[in-house]
Amino acid sequence: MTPVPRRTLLRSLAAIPLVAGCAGSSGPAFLPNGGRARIGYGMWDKDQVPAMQEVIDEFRREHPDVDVEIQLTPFATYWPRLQTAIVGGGAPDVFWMNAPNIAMYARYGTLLPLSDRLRRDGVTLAEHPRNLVELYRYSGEQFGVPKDFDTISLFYNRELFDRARIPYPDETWTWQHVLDAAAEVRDPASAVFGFSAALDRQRDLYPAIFQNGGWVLRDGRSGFADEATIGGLRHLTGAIDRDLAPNAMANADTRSRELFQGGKLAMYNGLPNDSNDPYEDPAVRARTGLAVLPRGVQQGTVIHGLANVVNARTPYPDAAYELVKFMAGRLAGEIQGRSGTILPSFAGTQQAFLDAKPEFRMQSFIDQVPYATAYPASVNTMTWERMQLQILGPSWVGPGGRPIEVSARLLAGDMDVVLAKESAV
Amino acid sequence: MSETVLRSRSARGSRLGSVVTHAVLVAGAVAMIGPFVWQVLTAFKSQPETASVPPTLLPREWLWSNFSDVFATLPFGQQLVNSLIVAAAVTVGQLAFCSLGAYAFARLEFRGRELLFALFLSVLMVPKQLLVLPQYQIMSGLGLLNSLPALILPGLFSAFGTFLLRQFFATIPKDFEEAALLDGAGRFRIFFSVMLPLVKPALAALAVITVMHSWNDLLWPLVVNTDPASMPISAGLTSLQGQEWTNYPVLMAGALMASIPMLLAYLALQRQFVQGIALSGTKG
Amino acid sequence: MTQLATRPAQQHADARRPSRPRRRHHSAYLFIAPVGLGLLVFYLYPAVSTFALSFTAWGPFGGNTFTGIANYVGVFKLETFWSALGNTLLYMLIGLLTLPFAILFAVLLNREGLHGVTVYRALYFIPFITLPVASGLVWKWLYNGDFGLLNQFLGIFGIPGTYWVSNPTTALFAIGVVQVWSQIGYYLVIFIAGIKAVPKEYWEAAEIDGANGWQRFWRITLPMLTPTIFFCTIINVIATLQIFDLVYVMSASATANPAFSASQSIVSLFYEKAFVEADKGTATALAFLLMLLIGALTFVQFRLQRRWVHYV
Repeated sequence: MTPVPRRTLLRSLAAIPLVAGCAGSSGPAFLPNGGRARIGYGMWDKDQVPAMQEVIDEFRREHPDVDVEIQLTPFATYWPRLQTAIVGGGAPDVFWMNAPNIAMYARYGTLLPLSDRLRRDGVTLAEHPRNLVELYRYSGEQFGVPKDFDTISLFYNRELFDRARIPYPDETWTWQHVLDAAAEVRDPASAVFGFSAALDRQRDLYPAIFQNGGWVLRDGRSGFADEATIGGLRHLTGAIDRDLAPNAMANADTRSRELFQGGKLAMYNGLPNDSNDPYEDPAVRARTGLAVLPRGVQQGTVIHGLANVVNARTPYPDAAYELVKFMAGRLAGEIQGRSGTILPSFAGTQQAFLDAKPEFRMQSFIDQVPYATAYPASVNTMTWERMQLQILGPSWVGPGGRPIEVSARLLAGDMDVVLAKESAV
Repeated sequence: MSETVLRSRSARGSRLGSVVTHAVLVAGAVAMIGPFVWQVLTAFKSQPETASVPPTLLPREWLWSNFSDVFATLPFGQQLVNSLIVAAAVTVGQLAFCSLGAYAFARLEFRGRELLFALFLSVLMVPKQLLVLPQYQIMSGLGLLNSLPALILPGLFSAFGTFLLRQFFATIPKDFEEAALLDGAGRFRIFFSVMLPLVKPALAALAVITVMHSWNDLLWPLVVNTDPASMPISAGLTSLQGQEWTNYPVLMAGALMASIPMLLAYLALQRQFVQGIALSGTKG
Repeated sequence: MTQLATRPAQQHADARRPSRPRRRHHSAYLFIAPVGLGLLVFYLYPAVSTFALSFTAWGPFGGNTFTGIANYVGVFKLETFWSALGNTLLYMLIGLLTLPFAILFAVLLNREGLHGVTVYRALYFIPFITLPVASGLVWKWLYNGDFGLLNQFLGIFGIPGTYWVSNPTTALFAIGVVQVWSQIGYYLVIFIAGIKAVPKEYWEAAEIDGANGWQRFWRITLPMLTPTIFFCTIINVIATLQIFDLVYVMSASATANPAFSASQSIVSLFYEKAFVEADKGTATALAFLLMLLIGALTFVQFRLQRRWVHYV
């Protein structure tokens, strides 16, 4: 009936080898016929479009025979669209990748391996945080090159601290300081909470786990049954049980960022971009401070960042690789930093980003890089991340909820099942 | 009982009835437009204000700049034109194709009618999210990615529309058709000049629903078109939604401006579907 | 399947006799061809080709190996499937409340000589042109446990509120109410058209017979409206069994919602499996089980229609 779609279907399925071979097209010109290369660049953040366009313009100065077109897809549909487009044959040539997805995309051969090319060009990526570079390595092969990074910092409301006459958080702070301060500022009458212990993996769960010497994933095993991990989680649930932090229902209705913005939260953990809204509102700007995260048994935070990757099926692998390489360089970092939209991962290019908000101590994000732990990920990250929310949830509802050690061990069991399947395939 | 008593009682009854009617309708209307009012107010707020708690009802400061920001951040005019083209094409196509099929299902005997109709209904039962991948492959195979035809083609055919119109064709008394048949009119002529005018309210209702669906459709345009110049306005507006942050004021301002053509389309169409059908006029 | 497309015109005359068509219209195929072929290419063929893949291990990007009914067995073993199934059926039942509301408003908006009827009709159309994300936001704000209008209102009467869409016991009903709200305008349009399609002569005749408004509603409007009600019921059941957008907007969020499992629908579970967990084999099996359910419920409704749907 309809030969066209069926052929497309077969072709697209056949064209996806489980392990992509090295696309060894070489030669000086990007196109065999000496024509132009047309590269689609997939990304999801509207705010970064101007900076990325500027980077692309600089790239085209060196490579005038390569056209690059930005394809913006909002984050909510970015991954469904990308999966569909890769199978259907319309995916961009170069696109943004994050930690939870890299291993899956790499395993199924949808990404172009970059190690050989990087080695040949003498690109070591040494200027980028090492654990960030390693995030985008799979089976010893580099598939992505970092472009930016984020760690977590403690945002605090000076007014609430002043009112309670307690000193502001600084690098000497421990969990105990946080709990004590939270108890001081907590005011049920005006609905002011001390700090946020949200069921938010990157901002709250992982930093707390790492600060307690716990772990999430190691050698294909879940770390949620480990006492140190559970201890980190208990720091959060304990605060909820003591009514110092909003529970998960309150957090689902009003997110910590909004509570903080409205002056209802004395402290919360935030990403670099969480500073945008407070900075934009003059009153909130004046009362907001930033510090490194407090220590538990040790200092700890999580580091994550995006990378550029190359579609394994791009008709222009050489041009696409050149673009990715260019975007890993100093100039691209400087442009991104200057835009004030993101912390570039290239060492020494962050100053412009820090200068964009001089009233805030943005340096605290960079200060934590030396001891930051990489964002945990495996092939089926998304599956066990979903489990975290569903299984830990009942311990996040305050007094009477399921004990955290019960939930954590349940989670570890289910997560281990998923992880075992990964290594079996 | 005298005639006057009857009349005055019914007049009193209808006055009371009309008060109740207005009370119910006003209550319903308030519930209906509440979110829209909120949308209008949000369109004038600043970005941080939309994130503040407790939420403010009226904007602290009325920001008109959100409306001009829409044009600064999106190819708004182009996307509006795209939406208009797609909505118009899809609506015209559905009215034509669905009414033809609906007439046959409602009025003509033919082998396999039950089975065919069941197949039509089964189309309604497929979650549209399931079809995204294979439909994408079809568009990719036809070389139509990033084009308006990719948005229009699947929308031209509707099992919903066929089913809806079939129900309306089925309510028309059979003698109208038979009278025309005796006059020696062909099937298509009967369909076109006798039956179609009789289902005008349904056609108008289908048009309203189709325009609305096409205008608000999100998932498919986002998957199949990545070039902002070939996006409809619904998909274009979502580029204002970030991973964790959304510029709600500009989003709402854009949505407000985008809904004006819809309101005009409705006002034009509502006269059609709120007009009653008088059989005597068409009996001939 | 028999009698899906009832012969409306003959139904009453031949109700008892086995229906035997008197003549066949070959031109019918020409009438059906345009929409039929379009549906075949863009909907049925894609659905069937996907159905085949529900019997394969299907990762995020293809690479299918035949696994028989393993995906289906896997679905039945999923705890979340059963809870989502129960949730979805509840959404369907709540969603049916849409129809009486829509009929009520349609009848009222149809009253002759009602003052401001045009204004009302325009106002009732507003939900159509409200961006879904805007409706979602305002409802979330109304339902907000700490700052929401609903709890403030209840507080006046000393009634304790809750986190309506984040509390596992209330979330589904809270979302169901929004579903009803958002669908009323849609069915209103169809019902207004349905009432308008009733020939005026019928009412005029009833008026001459001395029937009052209430009697006219029961004796004429409602019976004449049954084909439309039947249609709307079918469509409404299908639509609410496929509920997704609203659940996604109201309940799913980057931070965890404790009510997520308690409010998840089959299609939102499908979406999770297909696009978040990238397990398309399981997702597809899930979708086809849902279609089976919808098909069965639709079939039953068609079998029952002879008892109450009145065609001319």
